[in-house]
Amino acid sequence: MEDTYVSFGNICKKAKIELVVTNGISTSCCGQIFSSKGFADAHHYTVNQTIEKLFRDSNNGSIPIVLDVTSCTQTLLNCRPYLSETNQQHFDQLKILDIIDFVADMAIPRLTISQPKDKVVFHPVCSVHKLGTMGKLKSIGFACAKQADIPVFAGCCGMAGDRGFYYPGLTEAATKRESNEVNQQPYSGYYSTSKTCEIAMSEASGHDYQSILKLVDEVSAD
Amino acid sequence: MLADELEKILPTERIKARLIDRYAYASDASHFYLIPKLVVQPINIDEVQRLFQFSHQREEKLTFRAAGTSFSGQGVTDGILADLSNYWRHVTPEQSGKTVRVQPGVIGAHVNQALKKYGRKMGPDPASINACMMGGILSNNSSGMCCGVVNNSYHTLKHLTFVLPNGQVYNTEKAEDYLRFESESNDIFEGFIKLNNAVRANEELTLRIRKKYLQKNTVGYCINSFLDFEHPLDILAHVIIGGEGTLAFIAEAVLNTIPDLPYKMTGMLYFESPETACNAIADLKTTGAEALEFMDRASLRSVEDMPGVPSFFKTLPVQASAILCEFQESTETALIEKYQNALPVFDKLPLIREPDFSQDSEKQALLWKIRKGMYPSVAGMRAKGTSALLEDFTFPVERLGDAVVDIQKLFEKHNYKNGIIFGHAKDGNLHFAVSQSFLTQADIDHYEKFNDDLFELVIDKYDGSLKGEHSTGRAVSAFVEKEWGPDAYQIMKRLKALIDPKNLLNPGIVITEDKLTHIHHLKMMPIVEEEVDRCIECGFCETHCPSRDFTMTPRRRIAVRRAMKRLEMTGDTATRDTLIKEYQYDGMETCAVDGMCATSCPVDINTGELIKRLRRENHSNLQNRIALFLAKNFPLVERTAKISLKMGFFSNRLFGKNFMHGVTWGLRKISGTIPRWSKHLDKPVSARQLASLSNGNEGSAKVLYFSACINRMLGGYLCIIWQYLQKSKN
Repeated sequence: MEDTYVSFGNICKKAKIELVVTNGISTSCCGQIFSSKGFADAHHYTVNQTIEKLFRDSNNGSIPIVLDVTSCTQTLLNCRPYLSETNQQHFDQLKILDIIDFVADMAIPRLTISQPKDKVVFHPVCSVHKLGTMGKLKSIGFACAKQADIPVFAGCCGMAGDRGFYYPGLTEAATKRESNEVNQQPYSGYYSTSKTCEIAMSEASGHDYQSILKLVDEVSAD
Repeated sequence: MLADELEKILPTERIKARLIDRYAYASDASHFYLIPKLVVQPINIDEVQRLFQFSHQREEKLTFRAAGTSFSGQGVTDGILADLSNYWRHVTPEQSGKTVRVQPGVIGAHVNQALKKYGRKMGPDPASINACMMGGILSNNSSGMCCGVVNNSYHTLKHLTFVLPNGQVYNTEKAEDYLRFESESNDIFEGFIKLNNAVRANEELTLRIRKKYLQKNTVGYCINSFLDFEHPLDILAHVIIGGEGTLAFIAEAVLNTIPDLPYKMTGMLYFESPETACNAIADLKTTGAEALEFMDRASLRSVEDMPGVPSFFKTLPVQASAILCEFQESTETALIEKYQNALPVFDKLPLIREPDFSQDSEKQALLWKIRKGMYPSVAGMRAKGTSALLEDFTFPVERLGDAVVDIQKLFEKHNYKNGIIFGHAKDGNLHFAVSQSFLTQADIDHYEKFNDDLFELVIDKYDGSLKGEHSTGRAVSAFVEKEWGPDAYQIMKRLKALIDPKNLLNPGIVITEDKLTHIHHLKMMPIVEEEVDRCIECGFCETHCPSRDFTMTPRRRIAVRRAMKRLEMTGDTATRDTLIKEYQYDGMETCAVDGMCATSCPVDINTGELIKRLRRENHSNLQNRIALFLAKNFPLVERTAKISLKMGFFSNRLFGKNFMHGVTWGLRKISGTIPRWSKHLDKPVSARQLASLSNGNEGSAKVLYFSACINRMLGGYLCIIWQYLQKSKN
């Protein structure tokens, strides 16, 4: 299975988007892992560190930042109250894009979709609802497949980052309705935008859920 | 023990008898509170029959509950509570969507979703349709904004399958069941013939029944079925609708559906006063409007700060009132024609602003948001420690304006400051919301006096109905006879005695000897904490919660927080401590803190945030310090995680792809802190691999790639952190 990051690189190449990767950012974290467990100090430390690095590596906010996991984007976009005064000012200058924004607004307009899929299904993660990007997710589906379904019973998969690894019963119960619905018919692809949610939905449905980056990479021409 | 006895008839995992289960289910959306002896979750008719038998043999009270979104208190009990919300979810459209077959645990909106592709929907359209379930929609004879008195559950029922307290199951679809009913439940069959004769022979009663159901009415049993149907089984099936779970268990229903009209024209009409607005209803009804929603000045004021609400709301006259008017049609041409025909009617009305109608779905959504935001707005702003009460009266449409003024006077007399009045004016159905504390006896006395005055007004002055669509419940059971008169009440009493002679199925609802049911078992709202105090326990959050079928729901998490506080106030610390202990897993650890509950909460509570805060408070200093250490050494942690992840992949390569899955599964049984391996994990990605992506594309755009740590190192195995923290606890 090819990794998400490879697809991201391919898409940027095809879309002729200049891609910057720095070592600092590649060892950073949005802090959700600490905040969801209620570790305030660790969370505050982490987001402050991350915003500092993002500000520095994005050339003081002039380069848009793309996150490849929607739940992390949502956490980062809401970290302002936990930042120091300087970091708050820096944060305000950052342009943070979720993977859905990036694909819908930057990538697809620059790509040639040469071989759209037949029928795919999405699992919209909770953050899609909170960020209000369901419309953009649908537009990606519209561009990349003849039919892109969003299940009626799509809901929170209960993975909650890593909680589902410790309480598998929670994830199993949470995904049952949606995976039953998805398994009513065959799809040529199963996609989402957060790795752990993809794992939860894959476990539940028996199909391989992948990042939408993978979908976009596969349907676009060089 | 009751639970041990029940284990003979139900599997252990569906008997919830811990303290936390009992306290979690003590609340529903009403202002009543009773702690059940235990909670059971039957999943088929066979189990329901056994429950009835158990209830009879042991003389135990039995109450069925679906979503628990009712306002009147018919869903709480101090007996055995049978929860249907996790099962009974089948919904099947039939005859190209002309009818739909439903079970009691299906959410109303899911029925409509299933019908959507046929361009149909079910008749009842309660405001709680996204949360309430068919069991309640049928048992309360629900209606709603557009439904009126013709498309409610009673009138759209086609067939019903139900279980009687005597354990017999009948299905009105089967011809043989009509014969079986006569032979097997002969006492009931004969009793119904007698009751039917008694109703039909009483001309005054017949007229009374016909008159009552010209308007919305859910007080008492639907005894109109004695006039509408001939065969005792059909009569019985229709009194079970609106029977509030006191007559039978509804296992399945087939409902006739109605067209879901896609073309809509919506607008707001503004008037100088509630009287002028209400006096316009009769004329407006002639236009064929599907919805005519009335809002008084206080209602309009309650939403004036909501985003999108026009600024002129703030400068409307002091008594101004509005009517939200919507036309619906199957084609655009028909819609325009309907609207054009309504214009001359509008011209004759004493409007204080030009009517502004629109087909634009965003504008329509705003108008409905205004209308639907009123109750939540009052509920969200109420004082801590109070309940948000929502009344539900029906008045003769032609006297609606006078009734509004009379209620406003009562608000003033009894010093209710933020009372708002709104409702389905087309059907003479008014809701009003006030906040009320039940903390002290003085509060309860105050409420009782207000209530007495109100009920006198509705019944004696207007011959209205105390509950247009919310059902009798505990709220008005003591007033059924006063509203209906002695003849009708006797019929209802005999009916209940015939079907449930031991009075064990949801007793005290509809028929009661207690003349003070409306002020007994009131739900006291202790002041706990920010998120909890705002909660009205409506249950709208539950369907979105990932742990709903596993441990708890946001509403129950909050209800138990309140219960702990109540116990603390009464000095019962032993019980409270047990709750705290049980809350650790059910409440805290199995909450995904995803916050999806907030997306449907009318008062904007994110229970996930509450749980996160409780987790914060739960951590020791040492744990916090360890977490901070890990945060500071994140690159190191990441490397360690990657190594263990790589070892996992290596082991799988050696011993087969399911090896780690099996091993972690086994280890988890020994230590809960070992995370479960997933076959869907990816190999870790190094910073070097990521760096190789950098390209020098001279394109029109440039981005900085932030590959999230869960994509880099786990996809998922950040567990190292968790393990450290779990160990540090011990």
